[in-house]
Amino acid sequence: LRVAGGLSVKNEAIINEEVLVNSTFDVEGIDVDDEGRVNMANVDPETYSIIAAPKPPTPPANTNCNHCNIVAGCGTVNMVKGCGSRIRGYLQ
Amino acid sequence: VIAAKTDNSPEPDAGRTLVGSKILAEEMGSWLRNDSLHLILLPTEHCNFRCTYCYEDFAIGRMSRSTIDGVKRLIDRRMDGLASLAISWFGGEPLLAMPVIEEISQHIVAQAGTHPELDYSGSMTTNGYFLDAPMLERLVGLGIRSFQVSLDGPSAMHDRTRVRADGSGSFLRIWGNLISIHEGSAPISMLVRVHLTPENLPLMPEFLTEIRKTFLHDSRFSVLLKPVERLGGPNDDTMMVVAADDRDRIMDELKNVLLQDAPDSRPLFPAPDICYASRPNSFVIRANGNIGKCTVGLTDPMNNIGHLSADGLLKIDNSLLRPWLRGWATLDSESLGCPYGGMLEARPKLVQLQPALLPQ
Repeated sequence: LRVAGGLSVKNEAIINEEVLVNSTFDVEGIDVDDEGRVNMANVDPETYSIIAAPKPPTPPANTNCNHCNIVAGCGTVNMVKGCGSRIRGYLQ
Repeated sequence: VIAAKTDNSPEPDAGRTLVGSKILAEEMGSWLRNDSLHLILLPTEHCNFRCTYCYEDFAIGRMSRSTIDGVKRLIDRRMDGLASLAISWFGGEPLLAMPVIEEISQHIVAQAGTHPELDYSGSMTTNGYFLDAPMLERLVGLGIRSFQVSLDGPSAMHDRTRVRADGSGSFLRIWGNLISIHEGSAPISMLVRVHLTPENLPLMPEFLTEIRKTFLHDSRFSVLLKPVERLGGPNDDTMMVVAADDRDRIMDELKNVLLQDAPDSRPLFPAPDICYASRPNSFVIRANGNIGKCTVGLTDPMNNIGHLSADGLLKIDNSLLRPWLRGWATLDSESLGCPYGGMLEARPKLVQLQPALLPQ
């Protein structure tokens, strides 16, 4: 939000007696669309490609994952030890 | 920032900036990406408590039909390509609106069943009054497995500040619920948030010892020590807070009480380095469909960045969103850790200009 030089925090023209001091808001290039997706126009391509890369798939070595998808941190990267039937029981 | 993590270069002044920290690199990975979405949902803004330091005004009741539909449609819109969906239930007291929680959560669980790539996690901040064992089981069945419950000290102290709307106390019921959760085997994590005030500090060593002995050998339980703050609510003028210059010493002493005999620091929940309010893909959806970033400044116009429509579209004013994200530009820990705090400090200062300088 560019506020220096004539705009208030509501992006409106500053009224006569309002002066903004020490504003540091300047994050041009980042915005969010109508479905909540983040667009970053001013991030360098290499960094953006790392950020935007999807998570790695489920490690094939894992045999406990039943894709129940209800365990925080579990599912695609970190497997909860013993995950599976015990957790699934709560879904049934 | 990513390079700083992968080449193991020394971290620059970590006290002032998060550049180079592993946490920041990981956070950037998870919170700037479009395959992650975090929604903080307020199924009702009513509460059965009237905590003496509360900053909420309870003006908005149960989540509207339009907003419920909007949340479900938004999730439908985003489901394809989503790797992580985190739903945090907040309020008011969320368990006063269990039908709303069930409707939305059942929708998500059904969607998750057809999207095996999705990592769905549900969490809830609740006063714990209704969180008995049957309720917990219902919530776990809905994928809600992480909980935060607050205590203000032992019964006599807690019941003076965490007061029910009818004026009665709440400690015994909450403590009993925590005991029953501890005695059960539900696959959950329970964060007991202990509020610190000048009044309750003298009782804390004994109380925290009781918590440690009762719960902390259960790996599902952890504790967050949190000094009560003035957060802009109607009670700010009358509440006492722990003096800032004495906080570190007090916190260290109390942490030692909690960690006594513990093999590691697991029982202590670390405060996050980056607040959800700094994360572009994290939104607070209020009961009336208004979109915010922070669960504290709920009445602040700067925390009203848009509205969720019934068809699941987020009508966001990006000029109001960007101040919350400024930490990503500056990478300083204060802006990332609490963007709202900085916004309060950066409020426009009103200066009375000389009459001669005013336009004629």
